[in-house]
Amino acid sequence: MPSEINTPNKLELKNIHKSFPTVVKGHAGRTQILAGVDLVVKANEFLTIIGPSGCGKTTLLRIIASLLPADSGEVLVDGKPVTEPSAERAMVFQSFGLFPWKTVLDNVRFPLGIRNVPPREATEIAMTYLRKVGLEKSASAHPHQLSGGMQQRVGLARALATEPEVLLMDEPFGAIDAQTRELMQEELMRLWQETRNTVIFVTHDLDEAVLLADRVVLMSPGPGHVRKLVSVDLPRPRWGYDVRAHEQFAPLRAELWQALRGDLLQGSAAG
Amino acid sequence: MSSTAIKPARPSGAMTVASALRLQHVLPVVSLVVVLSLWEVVGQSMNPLLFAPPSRVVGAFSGLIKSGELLAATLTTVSTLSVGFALAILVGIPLGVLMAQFPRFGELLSPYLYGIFSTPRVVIVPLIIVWFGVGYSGRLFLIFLWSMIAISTSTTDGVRNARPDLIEVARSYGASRIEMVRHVLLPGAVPFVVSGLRIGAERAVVGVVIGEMFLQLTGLGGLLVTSAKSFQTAEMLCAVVVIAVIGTILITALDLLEQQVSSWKRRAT
Repeated sequence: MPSEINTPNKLELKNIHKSFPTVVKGHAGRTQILAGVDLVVKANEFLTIIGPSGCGKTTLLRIIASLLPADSGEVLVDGKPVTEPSAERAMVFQSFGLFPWKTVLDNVRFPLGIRNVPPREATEIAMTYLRKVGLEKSASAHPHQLSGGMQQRVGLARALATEPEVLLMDEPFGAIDAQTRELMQEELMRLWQETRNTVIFVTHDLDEAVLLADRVVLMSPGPGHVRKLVSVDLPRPRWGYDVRAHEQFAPLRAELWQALRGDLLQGSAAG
Repeated sequence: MSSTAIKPARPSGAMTVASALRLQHVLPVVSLVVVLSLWEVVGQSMNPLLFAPPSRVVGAFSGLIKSGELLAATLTTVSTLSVGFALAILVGIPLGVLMAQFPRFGELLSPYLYGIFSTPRVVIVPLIIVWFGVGYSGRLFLIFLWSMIAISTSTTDGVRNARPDLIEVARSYGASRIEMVRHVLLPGAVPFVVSGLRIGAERAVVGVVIGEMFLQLTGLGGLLVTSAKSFQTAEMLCAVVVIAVIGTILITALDLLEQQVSSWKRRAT
């Protein structure tokens, strides 16, 4: 489906630069994190971003969410530049980011309230998405009563409930144990098949990157830029079979690993 | 995974907890009985001008209740205390939020708040007499200002301690400043606010008594002073007991509130 020529561009990144002030041996300077990131994401595309730590993938995601201003460059959604955070670019956080004093239901309702959805309707929408992630029975529980995997489902329901144009996911399963993570990946695939949001999913897990994606973006560090784009044409839906066992999986993974390995070795030699 | 829905409450050691709880209630009672008996025995053998045994305090109580003096004094004290403390909350919490949200404003204000808070109130009494006279407003001021400072500084600490990751979540969904305060900063600051309320309540109780003893002889503080002047030791002790009870009730209520509001905190990260 990413090969469809008529699919419009949902998100465009144009020449994004970002640096942070740093102090090295008492001298104030700036460290370049992102240097000229260009990227086009099609509508309904599932894009994963992978790269060694320090390549600025989380920074890039925060710039897309307008949580951080870029030094230069533009973020366009449907061709229009965006500068303010909005639920149209909803984010799922690695640390879940649930409000501990709110119930599961109120956590999911939170962004709807910000968007002035009437309370009754907000509850209905929130319950719909809690049902989708299988947590309707935990609606009145507080986050600390749930396991990590369940907390992140709440995080996912909260992001999806706003029906975002672009769903941003920052290593969402990074803090979840390996087996639960596989279930979560499968569940995400099911949900996505239904909602078909445009998704940008940052991960440091190569398998996960291939497993979920229509396209994988490999970023290089020092400073971060798009190094490689790989299309993944594994058949969908991807939960009906063992994707890792598919004949195309290993070559794709190997291709990405070769590139990633080079960067990692270079990084460790330089460091 | 959904079978691990809700972590069970800890059932272990239920027996020991129950017996400890019983002991926890029994010991204070035992202690009270022993001390009151000793007090009675010693008090009987002392000069009645200097010391009153519990039996005489009880007698004084019924006398004060019959005359209506105690009720009137208690009402005066409690109503002044309530108004002063309520004002302190109404001003203290918003002021605390403002000081945290606008750090420059907080920095400008904090030397005065800390300065006033550290000054013993008795020292200020002459000034208050000059500014407010010896009436109700002066007494109210003695309660309000110190209690309000305790509440606002605690609130500021709480708001400043808000979790940055949750602020980012709210920001990512486009929350306004007011929504941020309402949904993220204040709820996160609740444990701090409640501990501020506790300190503020203590300050308020002391404040109301100081006002009644040194500013205008009224309420329980006034009763204390006038009884002391006429060597009515038993009546004096009545006033002390009622003040102590008021303080204890207020603090206990705030303790319970603290347990209530931070129930989500008990097993949080």
